[in-house]
Amino acid sequence: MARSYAVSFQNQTISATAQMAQVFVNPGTSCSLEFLRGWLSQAGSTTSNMESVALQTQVTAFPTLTSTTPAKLNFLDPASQITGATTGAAGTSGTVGSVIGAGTKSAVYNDNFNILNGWLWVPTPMETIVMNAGAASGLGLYTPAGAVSTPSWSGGMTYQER
Amino acid sequence: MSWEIESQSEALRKLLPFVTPRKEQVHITESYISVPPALIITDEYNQVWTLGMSVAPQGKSPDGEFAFPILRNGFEVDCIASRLERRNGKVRAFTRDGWRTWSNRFNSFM
Repeated sequence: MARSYAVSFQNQTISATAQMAQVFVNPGTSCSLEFLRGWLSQAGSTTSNMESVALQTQVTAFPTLTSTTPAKLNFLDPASQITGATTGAAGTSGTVGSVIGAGTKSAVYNDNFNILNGWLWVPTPMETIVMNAGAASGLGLYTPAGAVSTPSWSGGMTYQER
Repeated sequence: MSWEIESQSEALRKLLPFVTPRKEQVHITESYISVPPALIITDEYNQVWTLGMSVAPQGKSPDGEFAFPILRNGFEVDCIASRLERRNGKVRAFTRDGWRTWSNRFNSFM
């Protein structure tokens, strides 16, 4: 059975800059990654507001992030092949971007949501996104228009190693 | 020697803090909001509803969709569904057997 991991952050102040990566996972050379879930929510504002969100790929130069080590979803599994890093380089993951990175971004999935309700992406089996081992780009969860309210955000993505 | 055993559900609530209620009621989800694409539904009792992380086996899922255990305040409520919806003040779940509605009286989906 494939091993599942989550890269997430909680209760963080995110950047209001447009096109910022909030979660970014870049496959390494050892295994492909199948993305199964993404989510984003906030607890800092009680005002109804719409927010844009996107799943995008990005090639180098990658975003600068806070290093985040993937968490195991099955505690018996070994640690993920992906490791935490701030650079977004191959084989690494991070959250809460601080620098956009000049690399070209390609949107895979665009959406909008009300910040009071949060956003959850759960693809049907045929809609999962697979980033192959050795891919030139990583996949990230972005706020394309910038955050309308920045404090107390949580979010993440889960993936399976294949 | 002291033993500290952390259950998987406790670890899940640490990993995903949004599955538990906030300290005070700040928002009741409007009607016709569904999960997904919304992340959570908050009802008038400040119960937070969302879908869990473990994928249900195919025999328990609605055809063609991933299904997950339903979490209420971070705890599973013994129902597997692909969608949650708030309608007419009730929380409904789309299961393999169709739509089921949460009953606070019976503490289960009916």
